This record gives sequence, C-alpha cells and structure tokens, in this order.
Amino acid sequence: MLQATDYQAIALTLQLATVTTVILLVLATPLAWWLAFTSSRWRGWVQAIVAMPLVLPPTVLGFYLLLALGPNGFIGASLEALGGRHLAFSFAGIVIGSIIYSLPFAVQPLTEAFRAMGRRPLQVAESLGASRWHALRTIALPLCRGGFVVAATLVFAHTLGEFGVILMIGGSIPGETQVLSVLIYDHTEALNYSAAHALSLGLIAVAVVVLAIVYGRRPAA
Amino acid sequence: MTLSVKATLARQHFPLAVDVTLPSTGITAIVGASGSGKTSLLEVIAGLTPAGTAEVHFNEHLWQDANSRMPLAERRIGLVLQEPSLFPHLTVLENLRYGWQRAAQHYVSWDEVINNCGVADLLTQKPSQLSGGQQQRVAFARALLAQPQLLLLDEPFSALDEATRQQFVDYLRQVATRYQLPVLFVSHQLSDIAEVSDHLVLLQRGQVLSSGPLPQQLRQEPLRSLLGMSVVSTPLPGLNEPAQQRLRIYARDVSLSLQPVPHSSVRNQITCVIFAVHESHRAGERLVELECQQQYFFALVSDEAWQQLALRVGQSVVAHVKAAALHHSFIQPLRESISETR
Repeated sequence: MLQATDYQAIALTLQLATVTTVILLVLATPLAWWLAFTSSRWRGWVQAIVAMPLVLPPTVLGFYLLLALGPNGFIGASLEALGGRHLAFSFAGIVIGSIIYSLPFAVQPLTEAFRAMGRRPLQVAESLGASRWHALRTIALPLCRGGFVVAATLVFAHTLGEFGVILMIGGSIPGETQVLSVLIYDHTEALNYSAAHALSLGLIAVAVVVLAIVYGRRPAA
Repeated sequence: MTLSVKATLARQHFPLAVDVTLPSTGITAIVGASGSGKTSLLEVIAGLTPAGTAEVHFNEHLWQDANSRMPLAERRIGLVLQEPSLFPHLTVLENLRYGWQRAAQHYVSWDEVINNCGVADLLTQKPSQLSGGQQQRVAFARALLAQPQLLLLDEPFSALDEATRQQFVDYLRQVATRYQLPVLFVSHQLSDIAEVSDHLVLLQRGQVLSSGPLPQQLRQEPLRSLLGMSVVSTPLPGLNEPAQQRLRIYARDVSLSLQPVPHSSVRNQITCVIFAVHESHRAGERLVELECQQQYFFALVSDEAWQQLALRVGQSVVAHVKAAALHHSFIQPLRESISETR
C-alpha cells in the first residue's frame, strides 16, 4: 500500500526529528541554565522570545526564515558569497526551521528542571572539591535527567508533527524536504485518501506512544 | 590566624553589612534572631554570594575581594547546611565518598568519622530512606571526610534527638581540638553554644552587634540579662568537679551566703568576691556578678536579700551551686529570648 516515496518521507521525518532533537538539546541546555539562574533584567525578554513559536502561526516563522535563508536573504546571501549554497528548499533549511519552531519545547522543561534542582546541590558538590564541570556531570545531569527526557521527547514529537514552517521553507521535495506531514497534505490534495490514512494513523500511534512516555514517567525518587 | 569578612549584601529585609575578624582556631558560634543574617554570613564566607559584594581573607590567603573569587572547590570548606543537602541519586556511601576521594591528603580517618557519626549501618541506603536526623549525621560525616580546613555548620544538629545531639556536640569539640580545625557554627540552641563555642558573634539586623570570647560575651549585654549564664572552667576552689571541664552556670542556680554553710546539701561552695551588680530583666531581682580566680559567674538575688545581707560590691561571699544544676542541660531557643527584647 505504501510507495517508495512514503518510506522515503518516513525516513526523512525520523532523520529530521533526530537531528533537531540532538542539536536543540545542546543549544537549549545553556540557555535554559541561564534562564533558570540569572538575575539579569533581560530574562523576561529572552523568555518571551523563546516562547514566540508557541503563539505565532508557523507560516509567519516560515515566511521570515524563507526570506533570511533564501538566496537574497541575510544568511543565504552570506553563504553564497562564501561559495556555499543558500538554504531555502534544503534539508539544512528545514532543520534550522525545526530548531526555532521547537525551541520552547526544549527550553521550558529544562529551565523547570534546573530551577527545581536549584544551585544548592552544585554548591555542595563544589565544597566537596568537585570542579564546576565535574559537579555538572555527576550531580546536575542525573538530578535533571527527567527534564532532559521530557525535553527530548517533546522536541522529537513536535518535529514529527511540524507542517507550516517546513512547507514555507522547504516546500515538498522528495528525499530533501518532503516530510510525512507534507506528504499527507500532498496525498490529500491528490485525493489519495488510503495513503493519507495509513500515514496519518501511523503518526497518531507514534504521538500517543511518545506522549505516554513523557507523561507516564514516575517522578524521580 | 584569622578569618576576616567584610561584606555588604542586599537582602530581603535589611542588608547584611559586616566587617568582622574572627579567630581561625576553635569554635565560633554565630547567634541572632532569625533573619538577622547568620546564614548569609556563612554564605559569604563559603563564597556563595556574588563576587564584588564581599572581601574574605582566611589566614594569609585572599579568598575573595572586589576583583577575584577563589572557587569554592579550592577553599576546602566543610559545608553543612540547614536544609538537607545530600545528593538524592547517590547512596549514603557514594555521598560520603564524593568528597573523600577528591581530597589530596587524608588527615581525618574514614573509620573514625563513620563510627563517631553512627552512619555505618546506613551506607547502602538512599537519602530518601533516611530520617531527618540521619540525613544530618550523614551530611556532617560527608563534610568531615572531605578533609576541610574550615567547617561551616548551619543548624547542623537541629533534627537530632537530645541524646544524639549531645554526642555530636562532644564529637565536634573533639574534632576541632584534635585536628586544629576551625569551626563556624550557627545554632539557636543555647546549650550547644555554651557547651562548644570559644568565641561568639552576635548578629542583629544584618550587623555584628558584638564579637568576642564566649565568657566575655556572656558577661556583656544583651546576653548577660537575657541568659544570666556563665561558662567557667574548673577547677575552682570549692567546686567539686573533675579538672579541665567547661561548666555552664545559670544565675538562678546560684545563691549567696556570707559564711560557708556546714551540713548543707549543696556541695559546691565557692568563696568569691562580688565584682559588680547589674539589673536583671526580672523585677525585684538583681544579677550579682561574682569573681573567683579571674573567672566570673552570676547569682540571681532578690532585692530584699541584697538589702538584708547588706551586700556590696567588693565584699567577699560564698556562692552555693547545686551540683545537679551544673549538669542540667537547659534547652531554650535563643531566637525567642532575643526577640523578646525588641
């Protein structure tokens, strides 16, 4: 029932979600740390900007990203000037879009986890002779593991369901930017309802499983 | 050998503004009403407050000033905080080893600490399985095992029952003496302070009200009329106690006579001189300060008795102290007694 393009879209979607999750965790951790502990007056503004993708229509994000990443945009033009290629309608482009779109889903659980832990455990670890980095690795990371699991699963699931931003930046190029949500849209447009059904039900099943993992976690002892 | 602390720190109610030099030997008690800045002072010394708010010197080392701050890991401070601070994801053994394995030299022995702190049976447990008192014992053991050069204790024994607390107070005294380990100690428990500390810092509204050796501080206001307590070291002639022991004597347990009283049930009869007389916080009574071999203690005497016996400063008298009163552990939260004076 599924065609080669369907399998290709499934693989591309999983790849996009994985890459986005990995990059986003690396980027969101220091940002969340700063938000959790800073007393800077800019904290509110930064938090607002991080939360923007929650309220803006994905098309708005996608529109400005398309302009920035395209051949005449600030980023796209700079890349071309350096001998590269602009990022509109490319996998790299939709990865950037996904990262921005899912940013709050990574930053918010991590900020909460860091805040719940507080500074005390790290201060105590340092008083016991641990370097800052060692204290982070042996104390903060295990204590905030729940926050990392929630952030990773939410970002992964949210990226699976992304549509508007990808359509704006990436279009629907098989093997490059044609992810599941976009392909389902294409199938529906083509009145290929059975294929749309198969992919949609698959996505629903994955979403249920992932969210069950997130919300079914026992609170850490 | 001193620990000097200069700090100006904005806090919730009133700022911490201290400039104090403490001995970096022996046990120093930090006392004051809640919110007076005791914990903040410890945090400044531990380096937990922002750089630029404090200047801290420990002996010849600069720990912190406007431009630099020595990382906490290098200060080698044993930190025991008020709230439980064990690492919840590690067992008791792993918690204890966390600091132990990072220490360059081990002058405090593992077995000694494990046995004295009574944590040998807890090693395989997780902190969540422990009672509040057990957690405090483990936290104290962990701080000692990290081989600190300074111990900072914030209400370290608040969750212990009376008997265990007494053991820990004794052990703290031993540790401080045996390893020449300076200790800064925040406690509301008057009995702890009188028993262990050599030096006392009294904080009020973020400022140091007074600071000095314990016997001297107890002779001064506000502690004098608040507590009516003194600390003497035996032997004093007429005091039937083993040598080299610190004794707390409460003014209300001391009575005076002009001559020794034979056939009395009171065994301790100390011949001394009336050094001064002070107002008491109770109406109709006065606090008589007595001197014997340069040690000072108080007797609480009614105005009536004072006049009847025709007592005066400089007079020689006999102080009677019930032996039972010398051992009696008197528990009174200092917080309450200090806030009463407001």
